[in-house]
Amino acid sequence: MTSTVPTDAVQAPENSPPLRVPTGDPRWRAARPLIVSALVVLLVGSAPYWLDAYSLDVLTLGLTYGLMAMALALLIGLTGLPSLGHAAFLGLGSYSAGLLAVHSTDNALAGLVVAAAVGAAAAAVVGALSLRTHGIFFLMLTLAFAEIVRQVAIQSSFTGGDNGLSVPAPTIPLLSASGMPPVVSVYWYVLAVVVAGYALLSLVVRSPFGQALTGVRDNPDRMAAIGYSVITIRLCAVVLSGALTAVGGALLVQKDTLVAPTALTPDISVLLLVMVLVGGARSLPGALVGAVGMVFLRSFTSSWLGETWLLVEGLLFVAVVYFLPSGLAGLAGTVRMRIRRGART
Amino acid sequence: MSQHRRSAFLLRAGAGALALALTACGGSAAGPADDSSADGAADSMKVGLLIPQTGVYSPIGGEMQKAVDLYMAQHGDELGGRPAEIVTADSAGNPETAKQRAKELIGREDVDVITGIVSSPEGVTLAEEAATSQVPIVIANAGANAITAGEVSPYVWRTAFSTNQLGYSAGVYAAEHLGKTGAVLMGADYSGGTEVLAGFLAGYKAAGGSDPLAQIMTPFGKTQNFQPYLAEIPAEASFVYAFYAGGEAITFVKNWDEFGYKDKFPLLGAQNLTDEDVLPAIGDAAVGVMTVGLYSPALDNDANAEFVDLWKKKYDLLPSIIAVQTWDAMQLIDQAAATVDGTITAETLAAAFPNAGTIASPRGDFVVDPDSHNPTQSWYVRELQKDGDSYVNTVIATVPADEVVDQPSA
Amino acid sequence: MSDWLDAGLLVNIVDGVAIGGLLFLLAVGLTMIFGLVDMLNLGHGALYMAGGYGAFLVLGTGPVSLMDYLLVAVLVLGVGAIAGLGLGVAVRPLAGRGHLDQALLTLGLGIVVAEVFMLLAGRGFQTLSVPPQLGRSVSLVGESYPLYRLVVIAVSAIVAVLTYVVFERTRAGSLARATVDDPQMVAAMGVNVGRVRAAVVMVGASLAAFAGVLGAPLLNLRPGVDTEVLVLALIVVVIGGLGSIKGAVIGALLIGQVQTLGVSLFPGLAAYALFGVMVLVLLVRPGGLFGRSVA
Repeated sequence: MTSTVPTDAVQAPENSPPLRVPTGDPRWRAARPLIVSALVVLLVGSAPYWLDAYSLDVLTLGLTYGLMAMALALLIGLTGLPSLGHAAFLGLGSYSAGLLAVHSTDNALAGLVVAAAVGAAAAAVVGALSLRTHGIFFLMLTLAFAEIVRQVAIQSSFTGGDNGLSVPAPTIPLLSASGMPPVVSVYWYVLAVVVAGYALLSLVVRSPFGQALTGVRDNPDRMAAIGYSVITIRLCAVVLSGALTAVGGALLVQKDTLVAPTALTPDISVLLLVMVLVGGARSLPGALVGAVGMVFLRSFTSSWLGETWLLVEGLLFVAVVYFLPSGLAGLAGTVRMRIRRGART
Repeated sequence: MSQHRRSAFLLRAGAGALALALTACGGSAAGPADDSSADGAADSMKVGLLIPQTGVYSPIGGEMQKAVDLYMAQHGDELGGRPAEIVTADSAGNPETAKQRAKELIGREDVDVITGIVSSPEGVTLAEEAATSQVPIVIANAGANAITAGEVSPYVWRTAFSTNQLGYSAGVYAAEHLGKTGAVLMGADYSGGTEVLAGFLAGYKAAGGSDPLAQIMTPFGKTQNFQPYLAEIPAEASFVYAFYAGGEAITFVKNWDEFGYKDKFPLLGAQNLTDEDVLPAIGDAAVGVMTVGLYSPALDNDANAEFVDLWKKKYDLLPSIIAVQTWDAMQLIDQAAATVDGTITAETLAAAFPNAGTIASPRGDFVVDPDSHNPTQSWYVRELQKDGDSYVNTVIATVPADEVVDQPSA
Repeated sequence: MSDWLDAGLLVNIVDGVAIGGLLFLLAVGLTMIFGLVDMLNLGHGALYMAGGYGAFLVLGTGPVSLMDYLLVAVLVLGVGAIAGLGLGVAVRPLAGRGHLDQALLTLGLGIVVAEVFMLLAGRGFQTLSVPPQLGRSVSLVGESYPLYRLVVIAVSAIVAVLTYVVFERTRAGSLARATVDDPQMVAAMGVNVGRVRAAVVMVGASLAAFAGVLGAPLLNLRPGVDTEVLVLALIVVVIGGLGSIKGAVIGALLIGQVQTLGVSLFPGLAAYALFGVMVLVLLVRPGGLFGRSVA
């Protein structure tokens, strides 16, 4: 790696004091993250009561992509491995959960488990083959694997070829039997899985393994010198990321009851990458918000602007690079700083 | 940009970012069922036009948009005697996005019918979506056999063709005029290609043809050079039948010419090979190529004379087959809507399609089969000729509708 | 029979060189910019597209005279260089921020450029007509072969020799290469490193736009051609190794043969050949065939 030292998402501006001056009651400060989390959960969890069915469907799609973007952020931001082939894991997750639903059981959780297993296995193979490379070479190898999987999906009959596979709607434990509209039960189900995925990833990031990941990203030689197996650590990250992305793919097929080889195109891999970069590569919530934001943005710009929506999206990427160097997460960090500084003066 | 889209934009923009959550039909997803679809407003119609506006399929989407614009301008923005509005949405040419956009057209725009629909994966997906959401679709291109096979949903209609028809008609002609032996088949390796070639073989054999000499499949969407595949054609071939569309059609016909195959074998293609939308890019290389299609701008009938005249006046070009398929989708919707007494809704319109009657199409009069919901139509063998500066798909033979089988036998 | 087969294979090989030549023109700018300026330019496909569509907007659909064609080709070289200058300026504020930020920026700029040309030229299928002198077919070992592809071979060979000599055999070239390894040393010699880098981006962008003019008659002008050629160029670049002109030549010729001779010999593998070969090369040599170091 050359001098790739992106500024940390929540780095303090230069002119702010090195130590934060405590404001208010320390108990309040300790409780604040919990209160904010509770408010967010309440707001998002109650969405079916204040969103119309179509917007709820878009939000479901955004959350699904959010899970996959977070899984990719684990690789890009924490491990320093830019994958351009995550559509492969998405597609493998979709196809394995879809085929399970067609041939065996439509139990939603069974679909997730199978997808995670297939995604992990595929990621282990891809990782073992491509982790000898870095940077653009890793990028292109992962792209190649996705393209090869896509070609298999197009040419095989068990996948339904290029017309894709139509899949029965899933049976979601507890929710499906409750009699609520499918769009609502699928939403809560997806939300639960995405929250669980976020919790898992947050734990991983804070764990010794997570510290080993950033250590390997920032200084692989030193990590190797003190006895870590750099390649094993990276491989674990790829496997975890692949498995979670496949779970996202399973959610996608359960939501849409459809999977086609177009889910495996480089466009999808690029979209995931862009979601992570727009959100802020080193922040899990950033990736989640980036994904939800991009999905809503596309939904609205494409109906407002017609064919020029893509042009506007291109301009937006340029603007993000210049004005939000650490993505939306960086913006959030800056805003938080300003508020704190404002509170002090 | 059309007036309606601009006003919709202003409305939304004015509502601001919160509109994201609160506009639309107002009801919440978990709340009581929302009956706004039966709006008591003045009787009017809303048509969703679901086309690829971006990406590799966007040239076809653009051709559809032109046909719909012309139709609406020509009919005073009325369909079935009612004021009508078109809402365009970008499918990006893939089934996932198409399904998402269809849900938007249905849930947010409250359209009565959706038309357009370019690729077969989109068609297959939207046929299911139409049946589920009970909003009718009229497919103006996607040809997958499965869409109109077996028990077809009352919400699914097509004014294009089935891939089997497309290949079968050519097979019948080839067996009768190009030889009953020595056929070589070429096509892009995806469902569209394999279905059309299978249809060709069925027609070829039904008309007395024998097994083909070779079938050469090329990777779909990633073949930039056909030379190595053309080199595989056995020297003893008596003719080649090829199915390619869009960018691949351009490259194929140019390669066929510049590598000297024009002098070696007769070439018969599916309509897409020399459709009017690819002709400007192919140029002289297309001269002499024979294709079998459901339309030619050179057809001699009143509806076509009028249509070609309108199209040339507005766009200064000849209309493509895509344009006619879309024009006829609008005619079908128009005629079905005209038979509805009372308010137009997705429900009443879907029920009216069987009553639409004969379509006075530029391709010649046809009816949409009441069982398969696919056109029962004649097929034209066209040979591309140069007339001054322009290219004409001259009709040299007709394969009548009753000789063409709609669906492959099981 | 065997006679015909041999002639056919020979045509395949020549055609592989022609396709390889075009791929080289596409990839050489990308590999230069990546290897010498350490910049991942995902807008490279859009530069190609801009070159092709720009020429089309000037020349139109009708027959084209050889003079006009050459004039437009030179014009596009110049405009491409100016675009490269702009690209260099656009990327400068990102110094030290890593490849992914460059990737997002150039991806965005590429989309904007491609979509602007879609609005200018329409989304229909178009092509660039070849001047009549170059548009005919000639006899090659008894088979008909398009003369234009021989022209592509000749032009790309000239560009290959020129870029090789300039970048690997002249002082300016060794300075350009030294700016990657040791910018301080080069700066200490009194050379403006920024200006050297800007020049490299200009040359690279100019060649991409030129490839658009040369490639349009073969690949045609249509929506999506930008990403198609970007992927091809990236494959050639990683096979050859970053920043290596020799690598770009070998990589392009290899992929050219894979797509012609390879397809003829193993038709069943055609759909997998492109990426399969890249995977094989990178498994054996993770930095590409002529990669100096792994970036």
